[in-house]
Amino acid sequence: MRTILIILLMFWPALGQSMTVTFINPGLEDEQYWVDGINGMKAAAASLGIQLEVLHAQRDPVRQIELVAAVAARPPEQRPDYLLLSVEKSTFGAKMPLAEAAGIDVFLAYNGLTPEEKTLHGGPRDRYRHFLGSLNPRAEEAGELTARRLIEQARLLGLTDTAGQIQGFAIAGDRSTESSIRRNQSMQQVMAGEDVVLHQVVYADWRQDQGQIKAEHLLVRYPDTRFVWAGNDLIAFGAMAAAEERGLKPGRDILFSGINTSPEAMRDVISGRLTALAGGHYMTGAWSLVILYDFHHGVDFAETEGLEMARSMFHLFTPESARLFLARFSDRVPAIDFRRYSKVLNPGLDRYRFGFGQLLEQP
Amino acid sequence: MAAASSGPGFQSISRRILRQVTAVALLSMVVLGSLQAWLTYRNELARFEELVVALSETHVPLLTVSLWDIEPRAVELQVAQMSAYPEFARVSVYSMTGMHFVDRAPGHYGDNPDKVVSIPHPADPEQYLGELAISFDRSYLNRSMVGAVTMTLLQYGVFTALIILLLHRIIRRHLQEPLRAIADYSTQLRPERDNPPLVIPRQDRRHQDEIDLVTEGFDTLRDAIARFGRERDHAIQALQEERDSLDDRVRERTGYVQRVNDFLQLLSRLSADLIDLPAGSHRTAMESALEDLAHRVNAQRCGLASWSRQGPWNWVYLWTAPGAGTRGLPVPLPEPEDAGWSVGASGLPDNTLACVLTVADRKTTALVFEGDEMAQLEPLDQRLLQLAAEVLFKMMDRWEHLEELEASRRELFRLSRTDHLTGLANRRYFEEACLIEGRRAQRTGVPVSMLMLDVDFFKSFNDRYGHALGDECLIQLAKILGHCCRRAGELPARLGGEEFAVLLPEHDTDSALVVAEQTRGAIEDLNLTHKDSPEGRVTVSIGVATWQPAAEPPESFEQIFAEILAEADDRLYDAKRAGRNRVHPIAHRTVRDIRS
Repeated sequence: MRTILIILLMFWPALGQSMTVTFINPGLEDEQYWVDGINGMKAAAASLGIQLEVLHAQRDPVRQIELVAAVAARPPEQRPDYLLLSVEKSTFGAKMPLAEAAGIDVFLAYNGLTPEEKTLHGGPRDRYRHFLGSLNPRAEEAGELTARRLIEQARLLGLTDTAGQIQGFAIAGDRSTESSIRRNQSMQQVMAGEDVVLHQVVYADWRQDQGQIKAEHLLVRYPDTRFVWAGNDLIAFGAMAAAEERGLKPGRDILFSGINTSPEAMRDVISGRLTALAGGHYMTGAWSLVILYDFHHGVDFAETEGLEMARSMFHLFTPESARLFLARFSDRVPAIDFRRYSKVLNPGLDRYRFGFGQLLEQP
Repeated sequence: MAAASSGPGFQSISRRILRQVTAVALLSMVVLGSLQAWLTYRNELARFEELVVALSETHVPLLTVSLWDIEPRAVELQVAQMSAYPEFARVSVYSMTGMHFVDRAPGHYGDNPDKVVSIPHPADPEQYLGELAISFDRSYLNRSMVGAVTMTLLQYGVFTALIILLLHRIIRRHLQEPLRAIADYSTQLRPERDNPPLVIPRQDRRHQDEIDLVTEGFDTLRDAIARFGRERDHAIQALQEERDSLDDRVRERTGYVQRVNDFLQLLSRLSADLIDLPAGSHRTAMESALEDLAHRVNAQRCGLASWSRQGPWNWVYLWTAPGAGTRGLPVPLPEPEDAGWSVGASGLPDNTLACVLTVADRKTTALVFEGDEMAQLEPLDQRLLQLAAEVLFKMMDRWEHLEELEASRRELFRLSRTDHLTGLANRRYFEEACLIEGRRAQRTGVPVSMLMLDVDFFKSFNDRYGHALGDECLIQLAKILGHCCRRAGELPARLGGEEFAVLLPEHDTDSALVVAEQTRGAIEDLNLTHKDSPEGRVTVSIGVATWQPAAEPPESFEQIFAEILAEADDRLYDAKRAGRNRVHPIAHRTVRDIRS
């Protein structure tokens, strides 16, 4: 990572005035989701000539705050132009004043403010002048896509009970993160509209082992389960393992869905083990860099896109798109030219499109 | 301690009290400990129950959520929290879906849980998600019990120890030390000396207690001992005096016995002396006896008096100490009144003692002493004197009887050998005397002569003057014979009728002839008228014979004297024939001469 940065700095030493962005990764440095996300951001930065700095908080909210404080405490010439933050677990209130005091513009990616936080701290450019805005994937989209696909497939396979209903349960990630809540709610809305018995929603903290454990017991508790909705790919892996332990074949006796774009998940989609997989939102960081590039170059998103942008970014993978994804994105900085998506560079573009499908179709 | 060395071993009363208190305390400790253990056991069980209820209220809903949401970490956390209670040995959660969470203290493996709480279904009360199984920690229970019991016993023990210590001090100060002092004091109590008062150093008290009572008791005892000591000293002194006086009394008694003995010996001696005395010695002997008695009682005078119905007292015997003067005895004695003994000085001067025996209707006899010490005479002396009096009176009676008897005997004797008319010896006595004199003559070799005398013409005298005058004549002759033959051994006798004989010992024929001639002359000189006699008066013819004993004693003195008598008779007839009123033989011849 550091090497890349150094390389980047070496490539554009003469720019001097080049735009600098520091991203504070709330997750682990080697966490698949964030690895992918950062790879996407690197691709975008590379395309747009943005000087990107990534700091890892290693899943420690306190560490996130400390990192923000550290960046804010830097000498003015070493401070980045923009702080790209993923606000989790109500840390915005602690971080924002630090950046505001240092005069660093803050843009929120991946997660926006909850209504409560917004009430508390005010919206973008409201109380905090340097709080520029936010971009987050429309989380509901992931729940809707996977739920519908599960139900469709179950119907297709005739996995209904004697009452003609499809029984199943959901293992969500957590019950407090904004995106998780929305994801779950949209999934439940879809389920409620169908002949489906959603027995229970449990939470596995995004972890495979937890997912497996919960699935094991829920499968005992609800022996007629025909689908398991999982909050992410890891949970789905655990749940599938639990089902297989009970002698059930995923994709045939019992259907699983997941979210995210890990290679394993892609391979399961290809093999049919995983019935539904939605992903692509990890590119939010990359899209945010595009928005900040335009903002930096005088095109403020506020006028055309709104301060708080919630956009559809998910793609429901099919075995075909999964194969494509594996070919282009898996574990590397994808070779994507993000200049196509900049309003500054493409004056004819009046509205941003952040769908993942376009990335698969047009490298 | 002196007390500890004797008897069945010494043991302090305080030790015994303390030991008993300790024993009771220990027993109480055991009871208390048991009670505490039981209470703790019950409390702990109740606490377990309460804890289980509390856990049911707090953890079970959480467990419901956790199990419902399949949150093993949360379940584990709760199990860990619950098992963190020291009361629980093992806390298990079993879910219906097969989850099994166990947290247990190391080393405790209870198989059967003590409590099982169902974990309800969040929506359906009919269903259960699982069970919460709790095993109590027996060792915790035991530890709690042991801890509680230990604490209780420790408190109680400390309290009891303090109490016992306090008790010990109290007993020691208020009981043991005074008692020891009393014991020491009591060992020093001596009956033979004045004991010091019992002083126990004690604090001032407002009230008396038992020690004070004991002290008072010891004061009383001390007084009693002192009194006893004094009494004992007195008693010992009295005993010593008694012992000393015993000697005196023994001496006195011995003296008494000695006196009695001496007196009895005296009486015995007097009796022996007096009993067989010849009548002539009576007075001397009796006066000697009175002297002895008088000496015995230091009397100056002593006398025996008798009294009969008539007349005054008759002083039979009297002894007076030399130099005693003439004053006193014989005092006038009062007339006796009743029969029997009367000993004393009634009616008499003080220096007089009289032992009076009155025999009813007969006579009264009195033994009277006079002396300065008579008034001080002891009863013994009086009795002894009475005894002496009795002996003497008896002796006097005896003597009286003996005298009467002797008189009778002598009279009989006299009668047996005298002629009742003339009072001369009769023929029988004459012959006895002849034998006696013959033996004597034989021993001495001195001749014995014999006169044969016959009144001349006495038949005619009787005829003429009658027998009465004849007897009178014979009596006159007998008087002449008695008068002429007065020398010792000379014995005139009437042989019968007008025939007389005279035995003349130690007379040869010549001297016998003299006596015969004197006798014949005296009778002739009597000049008794006898008309029918040629002389006109009473005359006698006398024949004389003499026996000269030879060297050889004769075969029979009777024979000798018969021969002499016959010789004298022959000579009488010679005289008769020669004319009467004469003596024959005229020549000096002896019987031997005659014989030869």
